Amino acid sequence: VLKPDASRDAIDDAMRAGSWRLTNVLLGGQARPPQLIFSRAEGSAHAYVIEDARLGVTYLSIQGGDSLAALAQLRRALPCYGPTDHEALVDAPGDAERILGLALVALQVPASEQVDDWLLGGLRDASAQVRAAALTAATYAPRPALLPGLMAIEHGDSEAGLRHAAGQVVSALYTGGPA
Amino acid sequence: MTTLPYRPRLAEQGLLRRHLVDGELKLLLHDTRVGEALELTPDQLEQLLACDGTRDLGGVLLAAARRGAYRRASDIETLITELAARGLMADGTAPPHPVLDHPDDARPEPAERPIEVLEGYGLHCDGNGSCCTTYASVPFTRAERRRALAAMPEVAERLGERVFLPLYGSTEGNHSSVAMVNGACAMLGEDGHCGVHARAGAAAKPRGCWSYPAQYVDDGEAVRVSVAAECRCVMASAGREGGEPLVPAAVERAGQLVPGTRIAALPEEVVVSGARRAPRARLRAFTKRALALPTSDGIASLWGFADAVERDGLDAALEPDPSPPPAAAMGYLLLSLAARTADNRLTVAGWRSERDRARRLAEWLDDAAQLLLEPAIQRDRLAGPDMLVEQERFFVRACLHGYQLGIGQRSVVQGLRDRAIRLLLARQLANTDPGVAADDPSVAYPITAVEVAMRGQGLASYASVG
Repeated sequence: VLKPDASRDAIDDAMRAGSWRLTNVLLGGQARPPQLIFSRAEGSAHAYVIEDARLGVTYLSIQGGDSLAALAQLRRALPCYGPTDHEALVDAPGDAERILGLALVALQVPASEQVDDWLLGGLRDASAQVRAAALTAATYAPRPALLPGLMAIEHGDSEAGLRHAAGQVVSALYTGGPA
Repeated sequence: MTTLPYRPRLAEQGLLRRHLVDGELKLLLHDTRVGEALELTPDQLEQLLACDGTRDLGGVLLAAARRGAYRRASDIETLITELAARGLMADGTAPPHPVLDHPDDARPEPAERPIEVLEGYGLHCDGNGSCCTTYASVPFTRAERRRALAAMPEVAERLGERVFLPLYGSTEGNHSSVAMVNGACAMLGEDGHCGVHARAGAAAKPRGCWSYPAQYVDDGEAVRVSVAAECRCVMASAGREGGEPLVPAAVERAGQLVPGTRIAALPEEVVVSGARRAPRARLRAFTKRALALPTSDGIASLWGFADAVERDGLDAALEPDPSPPPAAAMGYLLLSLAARTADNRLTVAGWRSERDRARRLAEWLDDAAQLLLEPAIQRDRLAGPDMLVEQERFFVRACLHGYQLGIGQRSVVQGLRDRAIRLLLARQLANTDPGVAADDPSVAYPITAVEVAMRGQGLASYASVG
């Protein structure tokens, strides 16, 4: 996940330095966030720069080729959050930090019990904004372990919008449909 | 704040041109509305060519990337934003060009219209190629491009990609303009003759070249054929016997002209002056009456016609050989002209080679235009045409017969006064040291220097004031 000071120019420069060429520009829509796709000359690897407005972050994803090496190279070239930065953020005193921490958690692959705990903590947060962020994060990895927190919001949250959104995630968990 | 076009394209007043100046590549964007030339990098040229009006910004970025001209999205966005702020960007695809983009079978050809050729005129071309060394644009169609490159493959070898760029704007269509080498058409051979003509024959040349200097105008009743007084040969041919006819003698109707001949059309209604308009038939009748009058002082005649038309419209009584106008009447036009020639001199000095004819002419013209701001010099020049009397007589005839009054851009009155000012500038050129242009073919025919710069260097925009 890129830090806010990773400008579009910095991304372009890093991609150019890594021999990536811009190969697609996708506008955001209902089904997907806006994204830039860069490809290596031989077409064997693609780098996705995804502007995720729901989570409020921009992140990089590499597919194909030696993706770990490519990712490491781009991480060196661009200001990024570290792989464990979220741990401190989810317990930080400020709402903004906790919201960012939950966004980073949402993108943890694979999800784990620890991830579930962080998300459950967010779903039970005193701040409605943090709960909303946790709810969004839950939709990225909707797992049954999150049901207690989700149902608590669905049936008891003071915010109608959150109750409705939680109901949709719960329903998706039961039916296997999209959250 | 400038709004970025959704699907940007370079507007039609923007001309992308490639010049080789003393061996150095120069990529220019000419803004024909203000007469400026902006220098571009090769990446910027490719980025602008990607702006063809069919792509949104994302598509432009992708097209630029495919051409190897993408570094930063912000560079491209800034380029488009800055050009949009200058009024040089448009949105969506370009509308068809009123003359160039009409296929021959779709254009309402005046096939039955009689041809009216400038009487008694035959062209004696001396082949010195000055017409190939002056214009900023030498247009080619796709087919002409192919023929020219087949005849002159070394041009592509020398210049690499992009020997041709869109004739106007950034849309790569049927018409393009060839790269220039030290201000001359890239197809001009080292001997000063057209390489395409030499190797593949006259018919292989672009249409604009082989029909030069003839100009065709459909006025609704006939197609008049006149000449642009932009080349020494054109003026030197006036009054001479023989020469190449502008149209073969057997051609009596427009339908018999070589297919694809570009015929401009007068608008059904012309602007006479201010809000006054008239059907084009009245302009035709006016020019016929004016052409029948004797001309011993071109400026006096043209200015006198303008005064009469401004007062009483196109049916005004026309005075034969009127008195020259007072210098004060020309003041604002001369100021505008001097400002325009000064700008042009600076602009061309910024990128054209010192050997470039257009640069040498720009200096000479500017010297003359600045001198004309002196009231005493104005009075002297207005006193009479001196040795230019025959040239002025022919110029007035060619202009009136060919409707060379900028119809469509300005009123008839403005057009007549503009031509009078051009003659005044020509008189001053004849009295100004040509300096670096001393060996230029136009020295003996100064009106050709004025005319070629008016069109080729965009000086004509001076007349758009007031």
